[in-house]
Amino acid sequence: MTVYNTPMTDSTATIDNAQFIKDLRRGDPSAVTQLYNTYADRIYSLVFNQVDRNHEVAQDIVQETFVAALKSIVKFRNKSKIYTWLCSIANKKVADFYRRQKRQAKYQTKALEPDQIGSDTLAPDSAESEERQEDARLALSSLPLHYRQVLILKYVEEMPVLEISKIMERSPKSIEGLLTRARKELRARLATPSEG
Amino acid sequence: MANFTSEDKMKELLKSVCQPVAPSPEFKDQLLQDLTRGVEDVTHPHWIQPRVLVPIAATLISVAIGYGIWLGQVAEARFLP
Repeated sequence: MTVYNTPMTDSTATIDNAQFIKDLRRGDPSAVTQLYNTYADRIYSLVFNQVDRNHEVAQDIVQETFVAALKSIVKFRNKSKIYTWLCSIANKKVADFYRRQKRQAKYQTKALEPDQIGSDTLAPDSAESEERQEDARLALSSLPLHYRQVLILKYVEEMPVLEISKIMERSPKSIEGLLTRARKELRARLATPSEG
Repeated sequence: MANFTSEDKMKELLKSVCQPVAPSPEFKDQLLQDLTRGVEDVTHPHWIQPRVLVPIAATLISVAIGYGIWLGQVAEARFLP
């Protein structure tokens, strides 16, 4: 089995060497395993936070993301980091999910409920902070998807604007504008929490 | 300075709401198995594999030969007295 010199425990670990990409293109199972072990948790977290912390939905989207990534690995031109590329696929899959959900909502009205397991992981210090976090979670999940995505990439993933622009396929300037609007909207929604 | 504080607060808030979460080990194992099993089909599509390609090629060649023979017989019947 080929080892690509990547610490498995490091959440920010990356594997971007040419040999690794070559092995992935050849369909080398050890390269696939390495890709998966390095990025699965991070991609899962990213998706999970975009789909109202719903594990079932996150699992489906992560699966679709990795399958799509392996299918299109031949198209990967090494112009961005593998993680950036995976994030870009995951973001598109999340958008596809919401598009499908919107279509289905015309026929049935079933709200996407956050999983209890997901809410438990927040482990708030007190009832007050739990309430504040819940308000913030609701405010974030009520934002339009592209606002939510840009905020998560910027503040949770701590990505630079240039990388976000590659993921969201927009210019850096457009990302700056989007960030400003997303921040403003989130602040507004936090200031006036929705009733019920 | 106010902006920095605000940015900082935004980060703190979003980090507290979007804490990292790991998928269940069962899901991870199952998906990894599916991916490593499926990678052969993905990188080397099913129809390119010899066990699929050879019968398809043999069938196409047989059909071409058959058509040639039939065409020869039709031509012979039409043009020869």
